[in-house]
Amino acid sequence: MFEYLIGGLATAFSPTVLPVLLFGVVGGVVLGALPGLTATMGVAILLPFTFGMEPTAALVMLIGVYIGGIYGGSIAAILLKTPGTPASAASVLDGYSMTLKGQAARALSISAVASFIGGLTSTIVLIAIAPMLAKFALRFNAPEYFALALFGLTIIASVASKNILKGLLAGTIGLLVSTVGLDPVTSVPRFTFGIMDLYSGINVIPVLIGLFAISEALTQLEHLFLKAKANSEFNYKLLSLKDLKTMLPTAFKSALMGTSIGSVPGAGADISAFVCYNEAKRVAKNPDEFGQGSVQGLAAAEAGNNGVTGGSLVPLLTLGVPGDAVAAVLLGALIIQGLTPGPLLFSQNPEIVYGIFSSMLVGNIIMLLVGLLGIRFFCKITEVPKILMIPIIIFLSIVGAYAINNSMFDVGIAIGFGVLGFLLSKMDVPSSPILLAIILGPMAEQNLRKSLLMFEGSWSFLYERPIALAFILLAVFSVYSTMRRHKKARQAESENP
Amino acid sequence: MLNREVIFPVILIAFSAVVLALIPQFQMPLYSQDASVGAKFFPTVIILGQIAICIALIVQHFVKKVETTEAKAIVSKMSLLGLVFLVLYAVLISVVGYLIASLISFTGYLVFLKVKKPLYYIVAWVFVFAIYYLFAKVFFISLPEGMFY
Amino acid sequence: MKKLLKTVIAAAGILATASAFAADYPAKNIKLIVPFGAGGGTDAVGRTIANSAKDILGKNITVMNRTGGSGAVGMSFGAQSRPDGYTLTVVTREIASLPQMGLMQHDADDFELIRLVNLDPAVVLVSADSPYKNINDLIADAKANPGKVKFASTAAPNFYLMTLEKDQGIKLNAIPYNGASEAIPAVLGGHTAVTMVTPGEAISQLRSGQLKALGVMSKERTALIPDVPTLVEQGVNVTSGTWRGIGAPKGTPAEIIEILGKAFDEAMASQEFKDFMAKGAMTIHNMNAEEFTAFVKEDTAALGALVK
Repeated sequence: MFEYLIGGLATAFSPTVLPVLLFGVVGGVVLGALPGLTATMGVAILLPFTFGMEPTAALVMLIGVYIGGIYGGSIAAILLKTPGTPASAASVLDGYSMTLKGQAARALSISAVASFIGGLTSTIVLIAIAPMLAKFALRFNAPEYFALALFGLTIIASVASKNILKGLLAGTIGLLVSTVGLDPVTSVPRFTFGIMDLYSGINVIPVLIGLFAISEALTQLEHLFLKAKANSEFNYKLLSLKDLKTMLPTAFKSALMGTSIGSVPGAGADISAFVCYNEAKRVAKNPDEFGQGSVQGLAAAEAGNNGVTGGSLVPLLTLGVPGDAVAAVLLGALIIQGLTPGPLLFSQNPEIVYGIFSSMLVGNIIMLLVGLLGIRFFCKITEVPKILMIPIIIFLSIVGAYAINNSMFDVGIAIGFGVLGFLLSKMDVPSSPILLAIILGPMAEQNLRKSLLMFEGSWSFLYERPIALAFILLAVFSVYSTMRRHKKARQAESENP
Repeated sequence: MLNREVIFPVILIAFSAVVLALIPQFQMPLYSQDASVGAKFFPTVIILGQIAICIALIVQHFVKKVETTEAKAIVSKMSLLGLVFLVLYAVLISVVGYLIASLISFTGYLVFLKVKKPLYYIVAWVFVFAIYYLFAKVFFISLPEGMFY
Repeated sequence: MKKLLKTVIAAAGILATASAFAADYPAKNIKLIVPFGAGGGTDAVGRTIANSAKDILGKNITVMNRTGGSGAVGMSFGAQSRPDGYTLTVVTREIASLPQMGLMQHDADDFELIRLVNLDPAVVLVSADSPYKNINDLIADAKANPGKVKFASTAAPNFYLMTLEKDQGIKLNAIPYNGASEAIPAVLGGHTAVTMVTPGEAISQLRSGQLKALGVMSKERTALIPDVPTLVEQGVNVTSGTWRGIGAPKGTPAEIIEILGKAFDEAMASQEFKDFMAKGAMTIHNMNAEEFTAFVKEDTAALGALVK
């Protein structure tokens, strides 16, 4: 194994492969940072260009885009509250709060380091125990997915810091939106009113763009001519040693969780980021800091979404099935190169497998360097005058909403949700639970009903399957600790008014 | 006491009631089997939950007298203008295509806000062309071309 | 203002050339609508044939993914495009099934079908340690335990399965998954007993022996997996599969259809396309416009008998 790994590293640093990897990572960061352009899309668009390339270089480039794309989404999320991909929506919660306090550089450096830890850890796990992880992933099916989604959904209660009822309300609005379209089990149309564009449901990316970017632009527009509050002093201070110490345990834990979630087919970086955030908040000593610029919160979300990158290759390389949409494109790339993804790849083409492994290691290092060296440059964005930045955000939002599915209908969805998000923010109703519910709602519903079909109407799967049971217990703990926290807060309030 | 903390939940309850009335009209599945928890189950539960939360919000408002945050206007003139701008831009895109619509809208926006600095106009045009180039030529995503092509 | 005027004039100019005669077709880039997401099998076929045909036609063919409603959104969009030969659509088997289920407002009659590109049979797959040795074991078990054998379905409803169920008078417990990438792990993990996908979707599991094929649902054995017997050979007279072709909106001039048809013939014969399809374990099946149209009509009738 080690000679292969060294051989792979030699390949990764070879003059034909390293530039391709660098191009992939940087290109991925740019793609990810633009709203509406996801890592999946970037990889799919680049795929035809790899037809003529030599197999290792082709895969290395695509993997570079993947790593860069997941990370890039967070830059816009932190600086502009405009998450480039759903995976970085959880980073808005604490990252943007830091930016508001003038700590954009600190937030970006935490994000880069946490993403690096996430990506690197998951790559090492992939190299070391991919076959074991694959066995774990195969034990996942409808009941486990349902329980995982349920645990993720409990974050709705804990995201809402001010008024728990309003957080829950945002959750039900999101869940309701997620039921629009053809029912996943029976193909019966629900709330589609005969509109063909609604049959596949409301796409999450225009919703994301609307709720975050457009509603933020409207809010900023409102404040444009109001006397700006003295902006907190902007500084270029990176993360401190203390920050690093605070975030490390959370980051490693989230990286491992992200790897496991990634290794399960059908659960990707968006789900992982929210689940890791929730778990970090559940065990945190001071959960009230979450959402106000918590180092741990940001680190959990970032390590969680990049942790998926290694994990999603587990089923691809060991079973020949993709772990998420990006891995599906990589599967296509492998097949086009005449390779057989799955266990045979290890015995037939170990040089390819270890070429992938080593370029992931190197790719994560490149990502860290790009992230850290770019901070000064990225921060310049916050210095662009508001009067120019607002239309730029609006134009990027519209083009992004269009590009995801070449559809003006999605542009309408983005504008609609922009207005909704803007109005809800006036009512102090948080918008992230809406997004979370749209991502996790269908997963919960579909898998509950699939489980009931599999077990012929019996609910026994909830307690008979250990992984499912574990997630359900976690969900219960999560709700319980949130409730206790709120009770304490109320007591503290009544004691010192 | 009839402020937005009451009106908003009431509107949502009314909306929920309409949605609840739509649920029984779902078709029966013709070709596939369904689970004991069917297609209507989740929407119904969600709607009932939503109504319960809204009622709780109203009760909370009256019983606890949660101090309302200083009444910011729900919609200001600027945000309304922003919305009009968005809609006009979207309509313009489908008529004349992305490139021309963006140039017109961005210029119009700057003129409307009485921006005098030429640099801003240059930045705006460069931005529009850069995005167009990036999407159309680098990513091969065909942006809307309008109705004339 | 002058600038704007200029642009408008330029736009009008392009408009005039575009609607000019078919003689100089193609005068500008062609758009190919793919009704499924980037990265899937349909997308890969669309992108590859676009790539091969662009050199033949001398103009670029840009792929536009328009997803939704199991292909209904993209195909309806394609059917409503201007019939000038500059917007083509990848037409899939869903055009035969969805309209009959009331899930799509356009059907095959709204297209000038140009060429069938790809035709793949479904393969019945079980995990390597499954007790079923052949298709008759599965049928016997399903007869003994109606509605109990768990089937990982790649779509709801699943026509591969419905054809078999109808012919044999059996009923399986069909659990809907999101495509082959979720159905295959469900079989590998032992959560479901059996699934049906195309050879390309399961080629790596078949090669590595993680999955076992009980039979292929075509009239003759397929070259991709020559060791797997057909269901017909095993006495079960059932065939099913999926196909992809290319269509233009109804009313596109016949000369243009002819130009495109010849270009796609050449593209399908190109080494690049052949290699791509062979590696992806997909079968090239070229049918000309008349054959393709008749074939779709036949398939529509066959599926109609299932849903009614």
